[in-house]
Amino acid sequence: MKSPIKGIEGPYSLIFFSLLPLIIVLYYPLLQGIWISLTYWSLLSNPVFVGVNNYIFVFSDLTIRKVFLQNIYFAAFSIPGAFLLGLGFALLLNRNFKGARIVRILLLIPYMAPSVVTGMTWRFLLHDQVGAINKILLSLNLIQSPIGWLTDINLAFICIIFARIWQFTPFVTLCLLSGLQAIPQDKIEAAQVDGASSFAIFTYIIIPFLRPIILLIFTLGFVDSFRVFDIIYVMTRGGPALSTQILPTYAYRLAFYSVDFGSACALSNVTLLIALILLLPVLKYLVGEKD
Amino acid sequence: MKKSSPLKKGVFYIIIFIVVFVYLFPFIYVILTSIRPTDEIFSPIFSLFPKKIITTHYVSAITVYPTIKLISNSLLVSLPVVVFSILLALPGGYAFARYQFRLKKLLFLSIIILRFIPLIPILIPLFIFMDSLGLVDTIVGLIIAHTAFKIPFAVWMLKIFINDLPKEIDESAKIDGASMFTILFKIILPLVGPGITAIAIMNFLETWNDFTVALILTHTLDARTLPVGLSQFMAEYQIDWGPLNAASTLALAPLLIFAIFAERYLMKGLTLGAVKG
Repeated sequence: MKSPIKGIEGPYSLIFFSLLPLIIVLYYPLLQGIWISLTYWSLLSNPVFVGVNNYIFVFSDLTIRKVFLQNIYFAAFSIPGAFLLGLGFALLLNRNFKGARIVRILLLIPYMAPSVVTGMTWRFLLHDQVGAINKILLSLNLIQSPIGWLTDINLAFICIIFARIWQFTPFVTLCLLSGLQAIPQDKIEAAQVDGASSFAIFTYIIIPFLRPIILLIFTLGFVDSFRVFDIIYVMTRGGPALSTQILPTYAYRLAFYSVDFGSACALSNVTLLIALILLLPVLKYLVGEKD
Repeated sequence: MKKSSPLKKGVFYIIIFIVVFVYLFPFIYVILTSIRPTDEIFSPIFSLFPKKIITTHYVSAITVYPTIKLISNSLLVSLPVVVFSILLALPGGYAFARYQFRLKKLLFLSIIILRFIPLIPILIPLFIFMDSLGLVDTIVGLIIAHTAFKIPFAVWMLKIFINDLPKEIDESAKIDGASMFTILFKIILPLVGPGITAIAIMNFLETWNDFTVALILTHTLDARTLPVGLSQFMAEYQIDWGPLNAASTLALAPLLIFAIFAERYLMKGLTLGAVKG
């Protein structure tokens, strides 16, 4: 294609318009974050260069190790949980019934709701005195006295995972539903004619067809587990006793409570690196569409 | 569903109803609590529907708490972000859709990767950067930050939508001597209208919903948005559950309105947003 080189006609100058705000507002701070991570800085005085000390701290600190492991468990339980529930929803929605559109949009609401509202909602439901969960369990005589779901050091983490499953399920549903709808119907019909059971069709036709999407869901789900901030901040602030801290909430705490910006940036840069490594397998999918 | 007995059909719809009700119970309960008398909220006995419907929680959400100011701040941020993010994304989306060039994949990746990476590594230094420019705790600062965060999704979606338009349209405009500005804003933009609506709804909701960016970049009511304000409702020792649930319902309102009146566009944005990224 012949296009005049001069002016703003070329692709690079066009992209420049979209990329420039990103360079200034997002990439420049990212680079600044690398510099800050090499300093000791409490904002009160000038930053002092300390080399890789903050990274040594990040990799040796026992609390950060605990928080890192919690982040892994958080991902390892919430993503499969959301996957199973989302698969159920997708199979339900894939049937052509009257009102399917309404049900579909209703089931997607938790995904697009403000996550502060989601966190607040679960904090309210799980509250020991006014919470609906305790009220229901008490009236069914399943418990004798109210349970402090979010104040118990073991239960709080389970509750966080539960809330995250609830929030993330619609993403799984969306991905699987578009995958299911792309399965060639004649293949399934041919198998039915041959007398294959629904289970066989599911295992030998549907699952292999969905495999790339399943990989995508798990990858993006894991990466997203290192982005979660709001629901934890609202439900527990990472407590009780750090039991619900994950890397983003702990980096925030280092920056704005401990006012140790160097360590906070070092920890969040490590989090970023983890996310980038996890993203590698899907990068090709993300850019590799046909033009 | 294929031919099935009315009984089977009935059972199917009952299952659907139970699934939707149980799954959405948390939000249903929040909305019902926003009109529930305080003594019923504190009563140890569970009831789904309030015995008496009251509006006082909404009144105190507005009079006792600064909910109106929070909502207007949220709108003052969200609406410009929708406009700026789409305008700034249009040239990039067009270039990725229409041109072949050497650094295409790298540049595309450098834009969309920003949609997936954690926010905190950007936000902590961005706070310091914005602070040095005097933009912390300002509406302008929030608009700038959010616009940048929303551009990648808009570029991606615009690329997809422009790909679907026949090339002849802009090529013939070029031959007629139309400037790039004319092509982008007078020819392409109107043609991708429905797509723009979907992007606008997604970008609006994501900005309206945001907590992390506004938490870090605001300190006072000058620029604080509704989600951050909501989290402050809970900061006090005694949580005022009634007004809090009323304010939460207001925070949910845009999503519910889009779900009812713009289901098609919301669905389009969501599906592309999920599957494409």
